[in-house]
Amino acid sequence: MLFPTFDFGVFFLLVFAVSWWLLPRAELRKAFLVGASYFFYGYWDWRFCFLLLVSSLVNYAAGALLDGTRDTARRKIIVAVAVAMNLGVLAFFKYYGFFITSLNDLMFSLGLEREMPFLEIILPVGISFFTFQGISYVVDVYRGHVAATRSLLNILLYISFFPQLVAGPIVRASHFLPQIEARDGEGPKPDRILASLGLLLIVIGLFKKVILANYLATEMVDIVFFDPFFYGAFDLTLAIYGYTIQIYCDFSAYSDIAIGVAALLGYRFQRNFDQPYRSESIREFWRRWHISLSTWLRDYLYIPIGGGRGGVWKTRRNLMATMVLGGLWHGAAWNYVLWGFLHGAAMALENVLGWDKSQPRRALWKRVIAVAAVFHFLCLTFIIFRAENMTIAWDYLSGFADFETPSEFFSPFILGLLVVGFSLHFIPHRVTSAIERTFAGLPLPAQAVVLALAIVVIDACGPDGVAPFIYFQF
Amino acid sequence: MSDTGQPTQDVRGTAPFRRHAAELDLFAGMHPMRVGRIAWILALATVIAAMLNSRSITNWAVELPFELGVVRDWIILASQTWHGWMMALGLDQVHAAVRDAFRWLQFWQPGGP
Repeated sequence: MLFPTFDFGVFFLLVFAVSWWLLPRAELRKAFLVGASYFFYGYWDWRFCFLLLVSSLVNYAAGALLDGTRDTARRKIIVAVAVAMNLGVLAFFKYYGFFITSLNDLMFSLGLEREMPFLEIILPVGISFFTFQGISYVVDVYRGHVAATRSLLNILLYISFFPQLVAGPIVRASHFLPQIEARDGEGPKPDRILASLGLLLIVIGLFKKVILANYLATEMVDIVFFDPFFYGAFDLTLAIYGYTIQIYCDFSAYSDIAIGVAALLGYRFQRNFDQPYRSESIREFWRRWHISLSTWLRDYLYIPIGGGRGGVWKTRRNLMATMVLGGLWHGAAWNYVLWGFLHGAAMALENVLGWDKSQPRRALWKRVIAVAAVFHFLCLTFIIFRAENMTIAWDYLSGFADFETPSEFFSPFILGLLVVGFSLHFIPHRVTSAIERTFAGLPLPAQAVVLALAIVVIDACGPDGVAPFIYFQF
Repeated sequence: MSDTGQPTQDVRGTAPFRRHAAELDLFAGMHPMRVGRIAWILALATVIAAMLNSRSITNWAVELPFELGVVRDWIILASQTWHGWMMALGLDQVHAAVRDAFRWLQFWQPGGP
C-alpha cells in the first residue's frame, strides 16, 4: 500500500479512529496496531507476513534469553546467533541471487563452468529496514542500552509498525519501545498530539513525492537513464540533477509522511533528513541524509569494527568498510558496492586532508564552492547508483563529451521542478516552525479547509498513478 | 559490542548525545492538539476533499482491489451518486480547473501561446 493513494487514505482514517478509541485499553490498542500493520504489509503480498512474524519472534526470544543470563560468554553467543539469523534471512532474500550470479561469472572467467542452483526469489519489501531494527533491538539489549521487553506485543509492534515498516526511518528500540510500553491509560497523551507538524509533514511529503519526484522521474530521468547513449551532455547533466533531486524528494517524502502519520497516532519519530544537499563535505552529507541509516551504521558497524580507534589508517579502513557495506545495503549489485566505495574513498580523503574536522565558519565563497563540489560529487556517484548496470553508467559518463546533440528536455517546467526541489534545502527551519505555528493558530474549520485544499491541489497537479517509492526496492 | 565483548559505555546522558538527540527531535517546541480536534479536522477535511475530488473517489471505487461481492456494488453506486451530486453543484470543476492550470504550466514554453 503506497502512502499517496486513496487506499492508504481510507486505511489511515480507519486506523486513526479505532486506535484512539482503544486508547484506554493499551494492550488492545497495540494488538490493533499490529493487526493493522500486518494488513498494511500483507496488502502487497500476504505470504511475507510470516517473515515479519518470524523476524519478530527471533528477536523477542533473543532479548528474553539475554535478559535471563549474566554470563558474558553465553550473552555473546546469543547476540551472535540472533544477529546471524537476522543477517541470514536478509542474505537469502536479498543477496542470494547476486552471490550466485557473481560466483558463476567468476567461475566462468576461470574456465570452471558449473551449474549453480539459481532461485527466483522475490525481495520482500522493507526487509532491509525491519532486519536492521531487529538487530538494533538485540544489540541494544546486549549492550544494556535498552531493557528486554517482556511483552511479545511490544516487539511485534516495534518491528512491524506500519508508518516506518517498508522504507524507514529505521527506528531504534531505545527510542520507540518506551513510547509503546505504557500500561492502560498511560499511552500516548490524547491532549498532547503534535498534529500540526504531523499534518504539515504529510502535506510536504505528498508535494515532494507526487509532484516533484514523480514528474522528474516520468518526464526526464527514467527516459534518459533507459538509454543515455542517445542524449548529449546538456540533457545528461539535466537528468542527473533531476535524479539527485528526485531521490531526495522521493525518499525524504516517505520519511516525512511516516513521521507525520506516526505523530497523528501519538508517536514521535526522529528527523531522517536535514537538507542534505547543503553539505560542505561528504561526512556532513551522511549526517544529513538518511540519518537513521547512517547513525545505525555508525553505532552497529563502524564503532564495533574499531571506529576512530587505532590510528588514522585504521580509521580510514573502517570508514571504507562501513561505506562499502552501506552501499551493498542499498541493493545487491556491484554498482551499489562501487557507489559505497566512492563515498568511503571521499570520506577517507577528507580525513587525510582534515576537511572532516570541525572548522570555524568559512567565508561564504568557500562554503558555496564546497557545497557545489559536494553536490556534483553526489550527482556523479548517483549515476552509478541509478544506472541499471555498469554499461549504462559508462554510456552515461561518456555522453558528457557530446556537446553537439541538442537538448530534448530543457523546459521551464523541468527547470522549475529542479529549482523548487533544490530550494527546499535552503528554507530555514524557523520557516517550518512559523507555518506550523500559523496552522496551529487557525480556527478548526479553517484548518480543515487548508488541509483539504492542499490535498486536492496536490492530487489535481500530480500525474496519473503513483510510482512506488525508490527505497522500497532496498 | 566493544572489542572486549563488554557492553560499550552508555553515552546517552552525555552532552554531545543530548545535543545530537535534540537536533534530531523534529517536534521540540511544536504545538500540541487534542485528539478530538484532530478527528474533527480530519473528518471535515475528508468531506471537503470528497466534495472537490468526487471523480477520483469514483475511479478508486471502480478499481478496488478486493472482491467484496455486493458491498463493492454498493460502494460504486454510492460514489457515483455522490459524484453526480457534486457535478450538479459544479464542485467537480475545482479539481478540473486546478488540473488544467497545472497542465498549462507543464507544457508552457516561452514565446508559445
